[in-house]
Amino acid sequence: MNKQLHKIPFLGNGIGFRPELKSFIFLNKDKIDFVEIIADHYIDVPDAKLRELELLMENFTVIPHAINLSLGTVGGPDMGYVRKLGALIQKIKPPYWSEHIAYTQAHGYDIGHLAPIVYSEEFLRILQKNIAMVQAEIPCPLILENITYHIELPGKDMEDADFLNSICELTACGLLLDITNLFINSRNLKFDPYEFIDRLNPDHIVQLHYVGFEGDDSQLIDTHARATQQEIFDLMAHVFKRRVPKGTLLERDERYELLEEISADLMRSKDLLKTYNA
Amino acid sequence: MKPSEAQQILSRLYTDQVYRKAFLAGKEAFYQEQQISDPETIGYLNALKPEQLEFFAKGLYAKKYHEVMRQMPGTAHLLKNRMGELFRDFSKEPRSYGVHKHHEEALAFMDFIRREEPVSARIRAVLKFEEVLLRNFINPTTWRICYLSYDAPAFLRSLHAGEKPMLQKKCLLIVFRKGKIVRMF
Repeated sequence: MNKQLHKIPFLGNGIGFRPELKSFIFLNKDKIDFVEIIADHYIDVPDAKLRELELLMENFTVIPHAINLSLGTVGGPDMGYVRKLGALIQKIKPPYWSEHIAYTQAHGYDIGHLAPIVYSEEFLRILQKNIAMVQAEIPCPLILENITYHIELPGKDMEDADFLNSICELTACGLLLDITNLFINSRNLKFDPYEFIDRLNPDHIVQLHYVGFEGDDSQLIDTHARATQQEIFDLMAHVFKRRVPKGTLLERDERYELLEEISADLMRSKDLLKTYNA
Repeated sequence: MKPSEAQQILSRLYTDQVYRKAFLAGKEAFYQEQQISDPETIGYLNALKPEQLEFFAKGLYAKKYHEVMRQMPGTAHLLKNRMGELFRDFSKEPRSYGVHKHHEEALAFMDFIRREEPVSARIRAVLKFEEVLLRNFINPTTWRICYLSYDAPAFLRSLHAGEKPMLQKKCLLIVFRKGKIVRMF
């Protein structure tokens, strides 16, 4: 693990902050050590939204999670957006921040969500260049998240795990390993997720994301709306055996009313952290 | 094929329904129509699996629709199934947005509804109120005034509370300051 990532303190058990979960989060501070915010939700927003952020910062470590940087766009990221993101990160002063290995816009087309890049040597260089531009503007450590993808793009010449290892080595970024995304891809694209984890350099793993998946035998999808299944916790435990990450984070985006389900997920993650961090 | 060219074609295939449908309907005709003759580009596009492309594009569309619905729950409730039909028509034309993409897309969709759909006065009132709420979020001017002929705020409150939503005829003048309601007459 490089020096910058090594310095990141242990964060523990986290949850993605959503306004619908505000009361739950504040009432369950014993289960929650840190929160992740969607960075875009706090850029160019009214004062009330910034006050919400300040309240979170007073009570938790806050990790900004960006979703629209489009690091995989061949033409490079929108530097205007990067500067706004940088100002937010400067305000929060987190131990690190995160973005996805994906692109969301290209040539004037706004895809609206995360689209995969080709895992190839060529895209490794494109991503490296884009990340360098972002790091020059935002000095805070960046960690990169793997996404789900339902489309296999021509031109792939690297295994997914090798690509993740390489990009982390080339850019000094850490890895935000989304266990659910990994599991979904492994089912949809037929590979062994345990072998994938074994192939990753554990030194790169800084944080985990987890939540339940949906779908059937033909296709699994990431709706962020379900209780986390045993398969996901088993995979998390497999990561823990190799390296205890700095933090684990429940990424719930739907069905917020099922608080017992959310609470149970947090408890299981907390138990894992306790077991392997002892 | 240059990565930028591949990304451009893929982005369009993901977001432009008409373009994608033409591609999936028959690649040869599509290449002719789009004047694609470079063998490398044709080889690249031929290697795409149609069922994966369709599944991914539909997933993107569903996520966009879901996010837009979240920004205008009252209008969605009143329009019922028509909301989906209108969004399908609206989405035929790909657009580009800024940081608040879901809010901006919802505002563009609201404009589209107003232009394309002869909605009743009650739906217009809820649409207008939800539009003002979105504009207050994206651009919270010091003062903003909204006149309504139906009690859209009460309607939305009951909807959020999971109660049976009632939309009463009532003239309202709402004054917002920095995005928040300060007076309602």
